[in-house]
Amino acid sequence: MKQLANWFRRQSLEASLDRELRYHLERRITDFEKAGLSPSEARRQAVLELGGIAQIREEVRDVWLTRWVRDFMYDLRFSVRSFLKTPTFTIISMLSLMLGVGATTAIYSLVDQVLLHALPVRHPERLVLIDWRGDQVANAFGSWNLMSYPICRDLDQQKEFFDGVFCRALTTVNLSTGADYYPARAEIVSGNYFLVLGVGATTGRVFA
Amino acid sequence: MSSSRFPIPQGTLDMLILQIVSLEAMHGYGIAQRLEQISRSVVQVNQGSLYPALHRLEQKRWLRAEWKQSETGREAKFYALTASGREQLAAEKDDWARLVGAVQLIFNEGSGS
Repeated sequence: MKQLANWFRRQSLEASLDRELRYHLERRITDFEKAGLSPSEARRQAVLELGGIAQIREEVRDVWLTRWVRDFMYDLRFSVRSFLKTPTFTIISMLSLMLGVGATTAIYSLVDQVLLHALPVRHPERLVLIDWRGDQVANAFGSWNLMSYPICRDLDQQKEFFDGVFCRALTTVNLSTGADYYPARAEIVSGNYFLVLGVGATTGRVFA
Repeated sequence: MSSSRFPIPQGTLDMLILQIVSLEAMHGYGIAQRLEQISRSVVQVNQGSLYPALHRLEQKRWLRAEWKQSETGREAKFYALTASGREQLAAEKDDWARLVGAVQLIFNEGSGS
């Protein structure tokens, strides 16, 4: 975090380092001049002793901001600049990326729901659906693909193929709270529903 | 003479800087002078590594820096030891003493046999 702060105040850091190094150099040049060297020779000696001002600067910069973070920031700045220079290209590539990412995410959510997230029951891998393709006998709810309760009960009583069989039918009911009515999705199920699935109720009781 | 001077051991420069600054706040040039004086004819301190070390110690908050008027009347960046820097110096001195003691023990062992 401190390193990132250093990136944003790097100009004042640089100025301060410049001042610091200049102070050192000038003091050192005075020393050498006092020792009898010519001004140009004194400067040469002082710089030589420090071993390259540019190299010191670079090493101190590495202290402020680790090399790879610094390189990354420069790369980031460069790419933002290049993108700003060619707005049409940028917009088109961003749109294609957005579409691509969006489509992939959508497909993945579907796969995730269907394949990866099993039903939250005791043995989801052993759950099967038995369907009955029948004739339509009337136009009202529950008047086609009928499976009678006696058949369902007989299936439940056999112990050869299934541990338990329950029947269910989706429907919509009206829930009332005082004077207000709300339509709600509901399921009409046989008595052994919770027993076979091996789940309980979030609130309230279940029939045993 | 220069043949008897050996380069400063890796990692001891920080400790030496902390020690020098612990006596009084100093600027980079002053620290370089002091290092030169103390270690004359024994160890060779590369002045180029002084400033990166100072900034590293400042970044670790072991040193606190401040621009103040120097003895020549011009402004210079003075470094002073912080409380955590003092702790660090004590810890490093301790480690150093243990290392020297251990090496000495090994030498004594060799000469005793």
